[in-house]
Amino acid sequence: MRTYMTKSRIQNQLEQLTDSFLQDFGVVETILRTPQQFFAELRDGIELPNKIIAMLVSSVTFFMVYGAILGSTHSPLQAISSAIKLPIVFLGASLICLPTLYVFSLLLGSNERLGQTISLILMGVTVTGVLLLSFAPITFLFMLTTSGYAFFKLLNVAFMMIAAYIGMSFLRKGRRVLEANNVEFEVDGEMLDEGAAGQVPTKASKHALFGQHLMFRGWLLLYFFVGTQLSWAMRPFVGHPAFPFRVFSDVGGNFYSDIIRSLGEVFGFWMMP
Amino acid sequence: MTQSTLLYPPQTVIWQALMVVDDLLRYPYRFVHELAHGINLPQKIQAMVICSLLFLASYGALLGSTHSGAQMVSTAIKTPLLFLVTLLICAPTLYIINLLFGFNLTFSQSVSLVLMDITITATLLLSFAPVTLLFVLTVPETYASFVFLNFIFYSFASAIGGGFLYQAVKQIATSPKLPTKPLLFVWFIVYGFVGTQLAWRLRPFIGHPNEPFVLFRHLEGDVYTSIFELFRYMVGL
Repeated sequence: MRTYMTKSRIQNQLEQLTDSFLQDFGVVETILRTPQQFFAELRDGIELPNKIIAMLVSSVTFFMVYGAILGSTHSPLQAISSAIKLPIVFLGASLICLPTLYVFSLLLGSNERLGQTISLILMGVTVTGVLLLSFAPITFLFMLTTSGYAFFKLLNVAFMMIAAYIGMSFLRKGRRVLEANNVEFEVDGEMLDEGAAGQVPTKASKHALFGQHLMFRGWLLLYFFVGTQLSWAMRPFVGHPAFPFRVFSDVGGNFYSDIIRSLGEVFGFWMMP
Repeated sequence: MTQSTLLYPPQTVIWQALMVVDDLLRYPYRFVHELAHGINLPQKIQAMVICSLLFLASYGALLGSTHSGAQMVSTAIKTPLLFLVTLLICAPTLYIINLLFGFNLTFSQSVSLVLMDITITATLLLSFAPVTLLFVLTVPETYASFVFLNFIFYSFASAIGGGFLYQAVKQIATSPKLPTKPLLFVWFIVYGFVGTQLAWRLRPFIGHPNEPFVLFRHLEGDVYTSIFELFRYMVGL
């Protein structure tokens, strides 16, 4: 009876690891179910390091799973390679665009700390990851039923674009909440009064500076370019069935011309050379 | 690094300068308010000079590194030089213009206003550095598109810096009737006129990959004559 109750140390550690893993995944549910509460906690800086780790763990896991599914159409080696590369693309693009987002936020009147910016962008990436994973059954179906490489590739590009767009719209909503704690007009503990320095600009006039939305859209465009460029540099993810496995492709060209060529191949107005 | 050094970082000059610029980005109205009242003005000017030097030199080094090590050093020196020497040359003119328009700013106030613009531009440029690095590492045959990318980054950063200068001048003006836009317009013309000519003389910043390293390109004339020549060539005169 006693031997039945006791577990080995390894078993214990394994359970602890699983528990913490599941706790990390809990953050995804919080983001999706109660986003406003989550944003408020980010604004107040509650348990930021824990949140960052949780989001990092869950998003990396999601992208790894989806990457493995992508690569499995080609070969097991490609599956492993894609599982490693896909998280690098999404998290790498976020890392590259992080300084710009931080400086943009400060210039636009937010008073956030770097940790808050990191949490916000990671939140966007996590939502992207979980959406992408929710597309996985559809991807799986197409993987089993279609033989067209170009179509499968385009389908995945579309899925990733949609997922990234929705993830980034979460980021936008979160930024609005974070901007609320602006203490801009305090000077030496006193609020600036009307006659203190000529005209005291209102917060609205400051935000109208170059247009809050315009600037954020500009950042989104930057994120899009960085993401596509990074994914192009890290290709292939699916792997053309006619080619053997390669870690990186050395065929020239760029992302956009490849999309157009694949579209042509699918709709039959341009044959692949 | 122990925790105490993380919590209480060394009070070096650079660290203090970074804190001042952090203040500028976080609380621009308070910063301009203090500037208008002349609070800690020398400290602010010193901090902004140090930070813009540092940021512009870093970004310049990244630009030059696409060509060669020598170009990297050369651009790292030339980029901050371009912005700050232009300010140095223009400062008396900018000051007199501000008096003519009735703003009555002191010399150090008008200098620090322009320095604020430069610092924000430099900070934005530095924040683009990872994107530039990705571009350098992943795009083959980069020269033309790299020049274009940097043109976009520089224009964008300068536009935002200019927007902040506009807001600051509007805030610092003692009366709302003062001609803020004309002053800014004339300031930009003077600064831009001198800056463009200096940038032209200080070329190359990036360095064409097929040409060996040169400190300066030997070119005849000035930027405006060259643009006119180019225009004449294009029209076919």
